[in-house]
Amino acid sequence: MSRKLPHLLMILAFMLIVSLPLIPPLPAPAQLWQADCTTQTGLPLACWLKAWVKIPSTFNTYFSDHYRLHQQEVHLLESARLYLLNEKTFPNVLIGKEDWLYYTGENNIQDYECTMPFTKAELAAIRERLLAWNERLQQRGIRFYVVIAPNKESIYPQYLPDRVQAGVRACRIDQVLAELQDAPLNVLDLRSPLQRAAQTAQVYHRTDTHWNSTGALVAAQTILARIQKDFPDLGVPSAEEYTREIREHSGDLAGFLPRDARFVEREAFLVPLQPSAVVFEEGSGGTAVSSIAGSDLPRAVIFCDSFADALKPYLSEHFSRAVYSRSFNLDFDLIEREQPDIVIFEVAQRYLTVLR
Amino acid sequence: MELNSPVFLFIFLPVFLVFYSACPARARNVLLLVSSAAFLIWGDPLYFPLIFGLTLLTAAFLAGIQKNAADICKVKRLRTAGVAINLISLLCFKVLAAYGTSILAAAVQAGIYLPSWISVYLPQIARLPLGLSFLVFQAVSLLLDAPYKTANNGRLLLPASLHLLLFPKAISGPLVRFDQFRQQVSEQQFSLEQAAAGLRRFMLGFAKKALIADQLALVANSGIFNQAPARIPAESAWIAILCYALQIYFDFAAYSDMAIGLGQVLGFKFQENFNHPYWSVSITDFWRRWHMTLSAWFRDYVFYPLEKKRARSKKGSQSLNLLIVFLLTGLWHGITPPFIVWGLIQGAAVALENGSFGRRLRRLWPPLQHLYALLVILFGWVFFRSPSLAYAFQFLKALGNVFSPVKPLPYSVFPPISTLTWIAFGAGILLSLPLNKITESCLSKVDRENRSWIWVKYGLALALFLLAIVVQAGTNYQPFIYGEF
Repeated sequence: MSRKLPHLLMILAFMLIVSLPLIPPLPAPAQLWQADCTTQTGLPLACWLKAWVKIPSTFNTYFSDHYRLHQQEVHLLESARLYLLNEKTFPNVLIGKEDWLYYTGENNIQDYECTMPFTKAELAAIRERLLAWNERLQQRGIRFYVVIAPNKESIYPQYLPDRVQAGVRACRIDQVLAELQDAPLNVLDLRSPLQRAAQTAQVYHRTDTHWNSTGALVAAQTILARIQKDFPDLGVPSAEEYTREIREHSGDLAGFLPRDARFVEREAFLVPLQPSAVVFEEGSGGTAVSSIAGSDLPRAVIFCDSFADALKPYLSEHFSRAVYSRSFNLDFDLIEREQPDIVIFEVAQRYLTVLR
Repeated sequence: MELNSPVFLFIFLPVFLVFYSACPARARNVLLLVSSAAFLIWGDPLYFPLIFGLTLLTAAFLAGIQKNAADICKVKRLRTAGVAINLISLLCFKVLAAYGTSILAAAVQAGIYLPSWISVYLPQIARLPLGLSFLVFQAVSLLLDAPYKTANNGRLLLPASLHLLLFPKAISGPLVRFDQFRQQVSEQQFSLEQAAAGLRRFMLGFAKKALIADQLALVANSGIFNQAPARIPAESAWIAILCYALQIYFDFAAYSDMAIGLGQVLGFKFQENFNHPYWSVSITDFWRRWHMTLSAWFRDYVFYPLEKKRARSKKGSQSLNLLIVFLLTGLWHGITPPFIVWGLIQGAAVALENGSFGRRLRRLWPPLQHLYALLVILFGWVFFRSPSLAYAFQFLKALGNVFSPVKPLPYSVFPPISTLTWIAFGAGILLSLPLNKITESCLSKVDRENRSWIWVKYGLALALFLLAIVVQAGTNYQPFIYGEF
C-alpha cells in the first residue's frame, strides 16, 4: 500500500482540483435557449435547429466565466500581474503615467490611434440616419441636438504610455464631423471646451472612463449655451453656483483591477450652493425623469449613454421636464408621448459606431 | 468540446473518471464509446450526425470486408469504396470551409438568384466538422489495416468504433494504427500507477497549453497578421513569427500530451507525436520529430505505395513522390494556396536533402545545420500562417527589411509584450531544446523509484496544473489550433 500511496494521493489531488468548481453553490443556470422561432418566417425548422446546436457553445461560454472560483482565480492572476510583474496592460484597462487609467475595451485605443476609420459607406449611413431623425423631429416642431462626449484619451492624452500615439489619419470623430459639416444639424463637439477647461481643472476622473462633475458642468454649459441660441429664455449654469467638496472616488476602470490605494482618487465634486427645485423619479421603460413644478422652461427628451449620468443634475435645472432614456436609437413613441421642445442625442465618441 | 475548456476539465472529466473507475471492467469500453459520443455531440452538435454516419458506414464496410473475406476482389472493392467515401467527405468539407463563403459572395455579385436561407445559413455551416480530418485518416487506416482473415472477426465493431471516436484523440489525434489499438482495447487495464502517470502527463500538457501556447497567442493573434506587411517593422515581424512558431508547437504538443495522458489513464498507449522538432538538423529530421503520427500515416499509406508503384513501373522518381506526399500534407491542412505552398516547401526541402545537398548539409558544423532547419521551418510557417500567398511574400519581405526602419506599429495593433508573455517565450525556447536528455543524465544517479522523487514529480505537476488553471481563467481559454484542420 505504501508504494501506491503517492499515486493514490496524486489522483485524489487531481480529482479535488477539477471537482472544486462543481462544489455547491453552483452558478445560476445559463439562458441556453436564445431564439424566438415562433415569429420566424421562412424556415422555422432551420431556426429551431440553429437554436438547438447553439446550446453547447452558449453553455460553454457561460460556464467559462461563471464556474466556482473563477473570479478568485482571475483576481489572483491580476494581482500577480500588478504587484509581482508590475504590468500595465490588463483586460479592458491600460495603466498610464501617474496611474491614470484608460479604457481599452470596445476598440477605444484603436479609435484614438485611428486604426479603424469609418468607410465612406459607413459615413454616408451615419449622415443619412441623423438627417432622417432630424427631419422627423422638425416635422413635429422639435429641435434636435447631437452631442458627442469625448473619450478620455482625447482630453488627457499626456498620461497615455508613450507607445500610444494619436493617429495621423482621419479619426472616426473627425470623419463624422467632416461628413456632417454641411448638413443642417446641430452637432456639438465637446473636445475644445473640455481641453480648455482641463488646463485649469481636472475634468475627467483618473480612474474612470467618464468626465467628473467639473467636466460635466463644462459639457452642460456648452450644450445649454448652444440651445440658448434657439431658446433665449434658457439659462446656462455657472461655476459660481456650486461649491467644491473633496471626496474619495474609485471609478469604473479601477473596478477592472485588483483593489489598490493607487486607484482611489481624492477629487473635487461640485455641490450646488442653493437647494434644487428639481424632482427626480423613475419613468416608464427604464427612463429617468426630472421635473420642476410650475416651470415654463422647455421640455426635453435626452437619448444618452453613461456620460449623461453626471450631466443630469446640471441639465435638469434648465428644463421643466426632462426624460433621460439610455438608448442609441430615437424612440419616437416616447417622443410622441412626451411632446418635447428639444431632443438631445448624447453619444460617447467611442460609440459613434452604433450610428453606422 | 476542447480538452482544455472549463466544461471538459470541470464537468466532463471528473464525472467521466468517477463513472469509469466505478464501472465493471467488461463494460468500460461501452462506457468509453458512449462518453466519446457525448463528448462529440456536445463539441459539434450540428455535424455529429455526419461523424456518426461516417463511423457507421466505415463499420459497415468493415463488416462487408469480413463477410467477404474469401473473395479478395470484393474485399479490395469494399476497401476502395470505404476509403473513397471517407476521403471525398473530407475533401468536400475542406472545399466548403475554404471557399464556401467566397463562392456565395461571388454568386451574389454575379446576380445569381439564391434562396435567402442559403445566404443566411451557408456562412454558418461552411466549416470543417469537429474531428472530421482525424476520423477520416483513422477510418482509412482502419479499412486498410483491418485483419479480415482472423478468427475473432465478429469482435471488431466495438474496437473499430472506439478507434474512430475515442474522445481523447478524436479531435486532433495522435493518429493510431488500428492493429495496435485493437490489441490494446482487449488488453487494457486500469492501474493506479498508470492512471497517476497519465494524469501527470495530462496536467503537464494543460500547463504547456495555458502557460506557454496561450500566452504566445496573445502576440501571434494580436492583429499583426491582419496588417499590411509593408507597415510591419522587421523586429515586430520576427517576434510575431517566432511567437507563432512556438505557439503552434506548444499548442499541438500540449494537446498530444493531454490525449496521450488521458489514453494512459484509460489503459491505452498512444504513439508519441513530437520529439523536440525545433532541435532538428534538417527538414527530413524535422518531419521525424513533428506530428510524427501524421508523417507515419503518409509514409505508410501514400509514400510506400507510391514507391512500390515506382519500383514496379520503373517510372517517376523518389523526389516526385516526396513532393506528392508533402503536397497532400499541405492540402490536408487546408485547400488554400498558402498551405499548398507550405507543403511544397517541405517536400522540396526533403527531396533536396535526399541528394547531394543533404550530404553537404550533414558535413556542416551542427549549429549551422540547426540554423538551416530553423530558417526553413520559419519560412514555411510564414506561408502556413498567412491568409494569402501575396501576404506571405510581403511578410517575408518585412522579415528581411532589417536595415530600413519602418515606423513602429500602433499600440492597438501590436501592444507591448507583457512580462508574462516574455516568460512564456523564454520557457518556450528552453523547453524546445532536448533538455530531457540533459536532465536524464543528471538524474541518472537518482533512484527513479525513490519515493521522494515521485513526490517531487507529482507535486510539480499539480503546482503547474493549478497555476495553469489560474492563468487560463485570467486570459480566457483558446481553442487548439489543430482543431481547425
